[in-house]
Amino acid sequence: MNNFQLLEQLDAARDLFQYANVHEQHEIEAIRTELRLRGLFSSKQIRPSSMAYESIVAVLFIQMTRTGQKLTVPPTVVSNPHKYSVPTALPRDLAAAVKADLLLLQDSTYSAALRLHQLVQDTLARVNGTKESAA
Amino acid sequence: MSVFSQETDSALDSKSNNEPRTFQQWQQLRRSNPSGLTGYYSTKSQQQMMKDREVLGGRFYE
Repeated sequence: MNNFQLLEQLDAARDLFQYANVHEQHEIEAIRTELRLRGLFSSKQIRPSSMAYESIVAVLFIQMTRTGQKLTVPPTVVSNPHKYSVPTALPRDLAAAVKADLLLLQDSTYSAALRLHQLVQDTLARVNGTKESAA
Repeated sequence: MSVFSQETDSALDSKSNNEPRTFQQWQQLRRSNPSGLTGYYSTKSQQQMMKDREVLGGRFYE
């Protein structure tokens, strides 16, 4: 277990966010909105940097449902995320996702729960106009 | 001439303030007016968007 893999996953999500086309931007915004509705990103003041962060987390969660990707966040990173170049809010938001039953946590590793799969599938179906699959 | 006659695409526009906006309408604002005090990424707009999502429920994405 190392921190490097987590940073790579965050970088990959950041790249997907930065190079997203218009359609993908809509999908990211919809998932970001739904995550916020479920208690993630709880800061009241919204800054451009926090919006980018929220979008990156949204991409990360979409990727977790599409590829089965898991996130390992060692306890040392949870304690001092800034020391490892990890967004300070990430441990808190991952914990909020576990509380919302969106992620499962086992041995410092987060994986997508059924509820996250359903959330992503249903939300993207609505955004993409295929309501029948969002029932 | 009214000082309030200027048309804006703001989330705080008085004409549209009473009606919740859909996701598509919010995304139009994101493209036309992303930044600034009344832009899509402002704290007020984001809070209003969350309220609209809660009010409209599933219809938010229609």
